[in-house]
Amino acid sequence: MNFKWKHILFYALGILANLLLETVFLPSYNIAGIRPDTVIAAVVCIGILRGSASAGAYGMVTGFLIDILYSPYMGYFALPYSLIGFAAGLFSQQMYAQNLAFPTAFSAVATLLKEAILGLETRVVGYKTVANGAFFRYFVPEALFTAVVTLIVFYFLRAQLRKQWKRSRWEGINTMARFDE
Amino acid sequence: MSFFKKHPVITALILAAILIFAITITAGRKNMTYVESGVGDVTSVPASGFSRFTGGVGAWFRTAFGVSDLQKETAKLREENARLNAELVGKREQELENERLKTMLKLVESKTDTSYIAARVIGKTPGYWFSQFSINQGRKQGLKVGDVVVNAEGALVGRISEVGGNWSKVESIIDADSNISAIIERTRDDVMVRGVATVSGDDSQRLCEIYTLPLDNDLQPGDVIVTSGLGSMGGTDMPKGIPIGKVVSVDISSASIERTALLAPDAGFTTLEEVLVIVENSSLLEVGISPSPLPTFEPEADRGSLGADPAATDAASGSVATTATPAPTGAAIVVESQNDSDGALTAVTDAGLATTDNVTATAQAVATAAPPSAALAVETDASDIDPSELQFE
Repeated sequence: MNFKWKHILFYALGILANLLLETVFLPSYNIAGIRPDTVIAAVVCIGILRGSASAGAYGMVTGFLIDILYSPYMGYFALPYSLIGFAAGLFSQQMYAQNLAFPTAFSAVATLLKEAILGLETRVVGYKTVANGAFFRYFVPEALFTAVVTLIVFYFLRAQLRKQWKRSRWEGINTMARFDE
Repeated sequence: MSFFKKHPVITALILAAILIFAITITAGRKNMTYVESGVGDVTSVPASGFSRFTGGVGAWFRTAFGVSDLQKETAKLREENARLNAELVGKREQELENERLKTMLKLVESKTDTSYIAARVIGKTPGYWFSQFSINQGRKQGLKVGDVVVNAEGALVGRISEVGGNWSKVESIIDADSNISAIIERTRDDVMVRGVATVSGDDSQRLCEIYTLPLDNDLQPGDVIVTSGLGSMGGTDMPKGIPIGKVVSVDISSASIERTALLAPDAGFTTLEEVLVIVENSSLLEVGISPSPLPTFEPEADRGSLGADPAATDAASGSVATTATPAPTGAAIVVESQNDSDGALTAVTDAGLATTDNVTATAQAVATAAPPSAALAVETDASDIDPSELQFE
């Protein structure tokens, strides 16, 4: 299996894990109704480490899968997730991968932005919305929870991508050596 | 591709425009595409497996940490309380129903021919704004859009909003998209119950709103609300008398011409793992599932005239077929005549105290009104009628 297919498999498994965590595990197991957004954690990390295209595509595919299975309409989750992926990717060339503070802070802000977009979508489509006190009761704790999860995901994803990159580079050198012979 | 990689901002804007367009065109639709159905079929398999796994792990942890006994007892008491409440509501509903029916010339309401299908909840909406979930039964199991979903205690959970091959989306009653026609059990007033997009991390804290409530209505906290059996705004008919919940507060401000009230649903949404879907037996038969033993009766050829010209009846291959399905309570007799050339003539009679005379009388009435060439089929779901006893003259 070459580097490209390994990458695709890696993302596919990530999307499946995200989907199951978000829709099966976290609705049942959370802290007083507060649950982190693992899709945002993944999308922000991919955006910073791999760029806008990968993060935007990851966010869009995961969002669409959630939309198909659980949303009242298509694009409801795909819109905020893909936009956040693209936005995170804009910083991929400007931040050092060693910097852990930036992805953590970015994911917290992105979580609040996602809730704002979802609320706006709900309102625009014509539903009566009530969000009294939700900002401090749900959204801020969710943002902080997501930030913590992002820190962990970023650490492991960075290590994994570095390993993959080194291996592919080594394989590439070997291939070149065989070619030279 | 390189353009999109080089210009992420433009790509994001194009994508946003496409997704906003997708949201607007898919809002309010009732059917999913084949692609969505197929994707759902594939992804619902691991979701269903993971749901079982997480449920099992959770149960193991609860047992391992010794908190299960007290929780079990509390859950058992809650379950019993819910069951008794549901029974009480059902009994009160039956008493009121009996009183009304006695005054209605002994007419008994017809009950639709329905079955229950058990389904497992495989996942829920991740956000705070909506409350929908998916179950592991779909079109292939006889489910269709609009079928009513209840919990094990019989409390209303929601209805099927979209149906895939082996899975379905359920719109819960606390969802912002939900709208149900209901009645106040005590006063018998018609009201509408809708979900409100209230932000909440815990679905058990979410309430429904009762609206179209007249100002002079005597609604009080604690009043029980049940389904009215009328078509709701989603366009589906719900069986009558399914408990929805209890009133928690009534808005007494007179700023508007109508009052609103808040309703706490009887169904517990956070702990929902299995549900029952009420389906029509005809839907099950369409997909080749037999809901219950379905005896069929083919009467002898010389009984098949039904008052019409015997020759004409024979020409229209007018065999009289009677099917009988056990009905739990009440009975409905459906008599229909079919004629492809002249248009179908259908007569339905609701005969709660069904006897052979009822069937014969109705069949004669239809036969008289039917065109001469009509083939007549008599169908009954009355449990107390032996089809072989039916006499046609």
